[in-house]
Amino acid sequence: MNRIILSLLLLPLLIFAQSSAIKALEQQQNRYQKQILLEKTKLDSLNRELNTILAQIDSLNEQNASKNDISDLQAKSLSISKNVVASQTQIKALNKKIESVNKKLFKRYSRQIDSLNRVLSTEKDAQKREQITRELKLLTQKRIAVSPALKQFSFDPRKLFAINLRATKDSLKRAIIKDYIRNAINEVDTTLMNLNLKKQELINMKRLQEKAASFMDEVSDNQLYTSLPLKRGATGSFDLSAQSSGSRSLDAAATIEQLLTDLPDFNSFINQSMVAGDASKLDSVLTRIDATGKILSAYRAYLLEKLNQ
Amino acid sequence: MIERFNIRLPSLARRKQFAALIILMLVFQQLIAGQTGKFQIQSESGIGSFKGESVKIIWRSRLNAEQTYRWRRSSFNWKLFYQPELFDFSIKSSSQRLRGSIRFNNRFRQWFWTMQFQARYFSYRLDEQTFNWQSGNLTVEVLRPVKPKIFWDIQVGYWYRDSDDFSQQSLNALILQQGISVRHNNMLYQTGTYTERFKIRPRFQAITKSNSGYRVGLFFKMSAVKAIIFNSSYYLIYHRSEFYNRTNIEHQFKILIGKWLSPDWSLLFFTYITKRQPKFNTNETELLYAPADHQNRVYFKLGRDISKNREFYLKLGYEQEVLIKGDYEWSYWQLLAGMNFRIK
Repeated sequence: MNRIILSLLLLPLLIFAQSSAIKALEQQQNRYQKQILLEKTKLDSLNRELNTILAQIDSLNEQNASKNDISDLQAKSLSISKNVVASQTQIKALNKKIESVNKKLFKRYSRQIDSLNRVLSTEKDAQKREQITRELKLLTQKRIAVSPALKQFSFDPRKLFAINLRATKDSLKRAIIKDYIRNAINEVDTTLMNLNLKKQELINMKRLQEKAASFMDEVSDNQLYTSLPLKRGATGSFDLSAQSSGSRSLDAAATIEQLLTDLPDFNSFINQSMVAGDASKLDSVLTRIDATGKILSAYRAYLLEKLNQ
Repeated sequence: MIERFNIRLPSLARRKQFAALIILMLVFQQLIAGQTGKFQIQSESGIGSFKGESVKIIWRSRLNAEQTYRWRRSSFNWKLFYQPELFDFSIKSSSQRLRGSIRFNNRFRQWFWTMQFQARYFSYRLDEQTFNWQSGNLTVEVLRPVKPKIFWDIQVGYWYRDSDDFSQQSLNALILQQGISVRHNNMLYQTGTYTERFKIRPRFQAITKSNSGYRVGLFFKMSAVKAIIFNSSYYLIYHRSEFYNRTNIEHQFKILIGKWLSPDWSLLFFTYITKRQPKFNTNETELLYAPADHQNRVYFKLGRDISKNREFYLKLGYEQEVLIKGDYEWSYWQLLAGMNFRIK
């Protein structure tokens, strides 16, 4: 009882702390995005300049111009090329930073959503409930926007957030956008279908592993070492997946990303968890699949909402 | 065959059985009250026969309970297994098996370690004679990845066994097993060395001498899990003791295969074959070493899931045991039909 009261008292503090951390991360994300935009503009202008010089070199070559003229231009193009490479490296680094911030944000949003859901479950005041619900909807959208689950689509899921069909009056433009959204929904559906197929496959593997473990209990006395590798306890084995993936921790975001990047062939990931012969390890993979499925379903619902605007 | 051994009844057996039942009841209560855990009841019956004896009706029941507590980097698990068995529905021909284990897992940076204690009790009653053995082992296993797909694994353990059967002996052993595991695609390959230092003392007879010795060898294992479960292992062990001053070679093969035949039908196969050369030739069985698992066996199990928590199955098995003296050998087959209920 005391623990419940204490957690209820601490919950607003926790939400406040999370909100501040989220704000800081969002500012960081904005800063990086602005830097990327600037860098991209710079890269475009460098590329344009480079293309012009290359065209000039080609034309001088065709006119059999003097070597001096050409070598001057070549030196200039070399220097611009170096700048282009530097700019591309910078963009890559910024993208990595954004990715890392997005992962952190994904976790923070998830925690914030959980906390707000807890508050919502105890809140009686209708006005406050409405406010929390609005906040939850906004946070869910924000979480979708940074979800690694959306990274592998052929379309840019984040661009779809900016689409506003209500503001589009041109009927042709509206039809094109609607078509784009429909295609996006189809792609999300296909991914969800693949995810469900893999989930079923995993459930079957887990059931078979449990049966094998139970069978070993029946027919073998599981004596000491000679039996250990054949049946390393159903709950006691090591999670080799974390090791073999080379990461120090399997955070939710990274795993979802890994799941979807490997789709439709993410058997290798499953096997990493399976080599230890542990059916219970599959539970965590299944939980992660469910989490990914939920995010994709939420995104699908959001797209449908956009389509019906 | 069994009369030849002239075994006396141990006095503690009945009290241990009661204690086991009380523990099981407590466990059941805990499982029902708790949120996590597994509780399974199995019941099977059929026919079986020892070589040269009449066919007997077998009834067997099995209770399996376990619970796991998880934290961020560690987990704790306990398990209990109890199996009573009746032949021709007579308590005079019956057996009981009880197994329990506790296990603690932890991950510290790139080090994974497990500590486990396991205890087993087996009692076999035939007419007025009872044969018992109990054993336990405490093991510590450490696993460390050396490269993303290569792992180093070491297990150190202490093992004891008190037998009140044909051998009437107490065995104490220290075991060290270490090796390398390599994961490639869907397969896991393991190889390493096995070392065991043991000491045997007679339990009841007035023999003051004891026997100590070594068992050293190599092992190879291969496993795969995908649409099919495949696990295999081979141990080659050299055995030498002061009592039987001659090198003995032991081969152990194990294979486990599991496959779904359809969404509801599953097939499981297990075989274990052990072979020792040359056989011991002595009457002083009190000082002879018997490996932990020395029964050759082959089993098939065909199961059909009736619902999520219920399974019907048919099981066919054959076991053959070459007793440590080498003079005696028995074999046994059984054909059973059973139901498996998962309560939680």
